Amino acid sequence: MSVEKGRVVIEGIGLSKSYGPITALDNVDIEIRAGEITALVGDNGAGKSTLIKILAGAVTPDAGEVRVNGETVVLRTPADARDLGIETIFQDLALAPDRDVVTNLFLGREVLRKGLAGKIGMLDRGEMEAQALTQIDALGVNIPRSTGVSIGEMSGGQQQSVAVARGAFWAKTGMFMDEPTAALGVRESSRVLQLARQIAGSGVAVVLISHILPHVMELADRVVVLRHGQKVAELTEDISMDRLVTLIVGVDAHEAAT
Amino acid sequence: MAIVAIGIAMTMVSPFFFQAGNFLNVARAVAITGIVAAVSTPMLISGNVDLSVAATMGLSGMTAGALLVQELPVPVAILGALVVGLLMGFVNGVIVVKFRVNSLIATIGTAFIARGVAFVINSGRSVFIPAESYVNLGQGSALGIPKPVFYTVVAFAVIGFVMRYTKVGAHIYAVGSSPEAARRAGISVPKITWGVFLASGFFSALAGVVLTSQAGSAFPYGGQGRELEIIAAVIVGGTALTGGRGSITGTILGVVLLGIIANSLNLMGLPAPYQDISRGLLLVGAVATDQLSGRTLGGRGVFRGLRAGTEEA
Amino acid sequence: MQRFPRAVIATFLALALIVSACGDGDEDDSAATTAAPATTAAPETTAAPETPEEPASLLGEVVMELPTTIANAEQAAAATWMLWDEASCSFVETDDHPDVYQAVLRKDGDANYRFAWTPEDNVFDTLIVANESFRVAAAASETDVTEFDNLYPSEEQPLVVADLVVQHDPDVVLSMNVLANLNPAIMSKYKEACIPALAHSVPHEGQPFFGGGEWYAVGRASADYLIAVAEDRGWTTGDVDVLLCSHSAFVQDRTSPYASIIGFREVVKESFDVGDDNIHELECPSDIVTDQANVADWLTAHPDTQNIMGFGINDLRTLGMVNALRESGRAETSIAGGVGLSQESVGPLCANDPTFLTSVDFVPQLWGEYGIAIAQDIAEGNPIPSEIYPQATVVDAASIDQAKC
Ligand SMILES: Nc1ncnc2c1ncn2[C@@H]1O[C@H](COP(=O)(O)OP(=O)(O)OP(=O)(O)O)[C@@H](O)[C@H]1O
Ligand SMILES: [Mg+2]
Repeated sequence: MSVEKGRVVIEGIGLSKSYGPITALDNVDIEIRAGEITALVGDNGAGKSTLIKILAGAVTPDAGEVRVNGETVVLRTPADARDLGIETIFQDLALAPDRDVVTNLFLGREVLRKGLAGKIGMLDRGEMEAQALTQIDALGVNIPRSTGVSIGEMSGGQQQSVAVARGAFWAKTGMFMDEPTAALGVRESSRVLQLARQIAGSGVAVVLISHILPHVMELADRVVVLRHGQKVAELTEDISMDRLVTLIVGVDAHEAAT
Repeated sequence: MAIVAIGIAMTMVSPFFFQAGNFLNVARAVAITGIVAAVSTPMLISGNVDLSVAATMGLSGMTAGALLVQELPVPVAILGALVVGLLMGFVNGVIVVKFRVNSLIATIGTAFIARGVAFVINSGRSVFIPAESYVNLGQGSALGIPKPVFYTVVAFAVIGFVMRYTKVGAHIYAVGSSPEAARRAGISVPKITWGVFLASGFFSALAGVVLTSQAGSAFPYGGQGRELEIIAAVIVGGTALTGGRGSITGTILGVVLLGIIANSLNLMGLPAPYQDISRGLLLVGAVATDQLSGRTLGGRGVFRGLRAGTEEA
Repeated sequence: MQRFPRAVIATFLALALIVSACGDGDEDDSAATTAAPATTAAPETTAAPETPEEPASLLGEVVMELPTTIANAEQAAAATWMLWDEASCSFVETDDHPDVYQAVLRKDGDANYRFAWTPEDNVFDTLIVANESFRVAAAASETDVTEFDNLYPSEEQPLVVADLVVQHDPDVVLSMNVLANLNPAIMSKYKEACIPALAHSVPHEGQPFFGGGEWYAVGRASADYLIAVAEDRGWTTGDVDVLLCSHSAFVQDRTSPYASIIGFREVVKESFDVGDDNIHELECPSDIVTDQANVADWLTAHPDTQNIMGFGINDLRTLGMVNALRESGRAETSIAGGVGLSQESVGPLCANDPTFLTSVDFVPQLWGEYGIAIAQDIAEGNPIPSEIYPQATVVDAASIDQAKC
């Protein structure tokens, strides 16, 4: 089940995407490796979200291909990607606020009872609860363990934890996190980042989009920099703040500023 | 709780309230509203509202009546009515899902159309139903219980089961809670929405059949005005108009509560305007209390203990 | 809340009507022969017109003798007569009139009168029949009658219609607007345009009135009938409760359908000596099933009643009441009457229902003949009574037109 660390599991080759006159992504190659955290950085509008949406099946590229475990795949919907073990935690979480943790964890992937009851769509609520609690315990996340409390009544950090727990629960190949700490305080941020580490530790290829460069430097095994839809750098060592900023903003802007 | 309190109050003001026969009165009186309230619960939970339910009742009832007058067999008439209901649901689904029209607006529109067609069917005239076997479906009692009540129990049982124990139910809740989250979780929001509208049309038509068989007459304005009563019952039962929250248990309580109020005011001989006033007060009171305390009649308030462990939301 | 979505279909029908009104007379003729109103249930006091398949034979017949149906004797004696005075653009009272008014429909000939009829709508059971009768009578008399639909319950349409009528400039308008609050505005438009108006359904001061049904007399007639049955069955005053199915939405006066309740109540008190304590007025919103529920609740609260005499303000309400009586096992100890001779009463009467015994026919199928004949009199300057009602007839299982069954 666990893949050897460093093996490329998800690849994007020559990915391009335009929205009318705007080129969101321009011929980008990317390799995402098992057990690693790949950080994706870039200025607003650089194309980060577009890139992982393509890899997650939420956006269809104009050109290029995606490979998972070496095989070319066509991802028409997020469900296609999920079937390949690729989970995405979107910027806006995508949780059902009126439902409890168990329901959210299994949203769209409910466990049915065995036999006839399952054939008519009866849920196996007991099984889902047991699995959910095991997962929450395994991740050590701070979520109320009682079922029946709706997500909407939890704190932002707890909600984020639920989203991460859900991703971790289903991610077998890769997990994409788009600015997972944007709405969180210091403590809750570090908790989520710790989770990202933990998930990568289990052999999943993790992609983290973040504007918070100290987080990136602290966590990432590899940093990919996008600018104006193009990949401008991929760093594995000597990742300094200055270097990142220069790459993100671009040499021209850097020079203009000096 | 609320029902018990009202029950005690009513027994004090009218000695006839606490009688088996009177409970059957209440049951018969709420039976038709109950069938539609049952299906309006998933409708509201899914974040939609169907205001065409009453017009569908009228239209399907007239359809059945028109078919019966043509001396077609009773099952054909019922089938015709149900097909008309499904058609209404289908059309509402098209408008809401394909044309992305807000369901409130869409169903106000189709309600007008359905009501209009119900009038056209027999040029605005009622149809006195000649088939005794049809009328026998809704008149009289079986096992001492008024027949319409059986259909209501079936509607509540089926819809309650789906909502609480099945995947489809879970998806309806999810769609109403956050359509975007549901979509990203791989749930087909259009399919769920469409399904809910089809069910709404189907059960409204069933209510139309029960209405006409109980009345012994199909009349084009059958069910008119009931849509608001139905939504009031669902809301009083703790279902959120904004979707995502609610339960069939709550709706049953809401329906029964409104029925008891009407019944007891009748027993006391108070005229109808007072019933409207009480209904309005109850609705506003229930929703306001819900807002203030975060508790609802059928939700996590007093009735929670009854449902511990199998809480839907 | 009553009947509001009818406006939708009424709009379509109004459009259709405007189209057909613009068409030629042939259309009207064909309509007359295909949708023939039943006429055999005509009031006994009137000479029954021939079948409308031969509309020409309507002509010259005495279709109406009045004032035979004015509410009561004092009213009949006190009835004023009026005639249209072109100079003052108003109706003036006159003592120069015959003892009996006969509205006689006649061929238009060289008069070339143009009349307007503004029905409440074109979807209500009674009005569908009434409007058709206007078409039939117009064709028969070769009179130019244009229909303008008031699209009940629209609050605007009646005023729009009044403007249209003024533009159309008929010799007489038969104004059927049931929204009493709009009537003064409508009538003043006609007065300003110097068009004589015959008010239908809602009376207007200084204007002759053609009542569709004389509600008060309807209630009295139904009570007379049911009391006769009760006496026949050996019921006595002491063991009878009277149930009246009405609705608080009705204005409680003599010009509204509520007058039938007033009339019924008066007769059971006068002729059967029932006390007020034994007369019960229930709220029936006219949904049959809801009416049934309300009556069922009342029966529960009054377990000691023996015999029940019921009356509903229309057939639907009576049917709901009858359903409740039957389900409570009182079918054999109750009798009930409805109003309107709509499907809800035709069915039970044809089936010899043991409880639903009678309904009252307003003869809407004769309104056209009556109305156009009265309009002809107004146009010619003949005196007419200030209140005119068609005879309403009590119908039972024995007297119902079997063709309706
Ligand atoms: N659905 C869309 N329609 C039109 N333009 C879009 C759409 N999605 C993205 N874009 C454009 O594509 C470009 C890249 O957007 P993207 O969301 O990938 O940037 P990003 O790097 O994630 O930015 P941020 O850091 O602000 O989240 C932007 O110019 C954006 O406006
Ligand atoms: Mg982004």
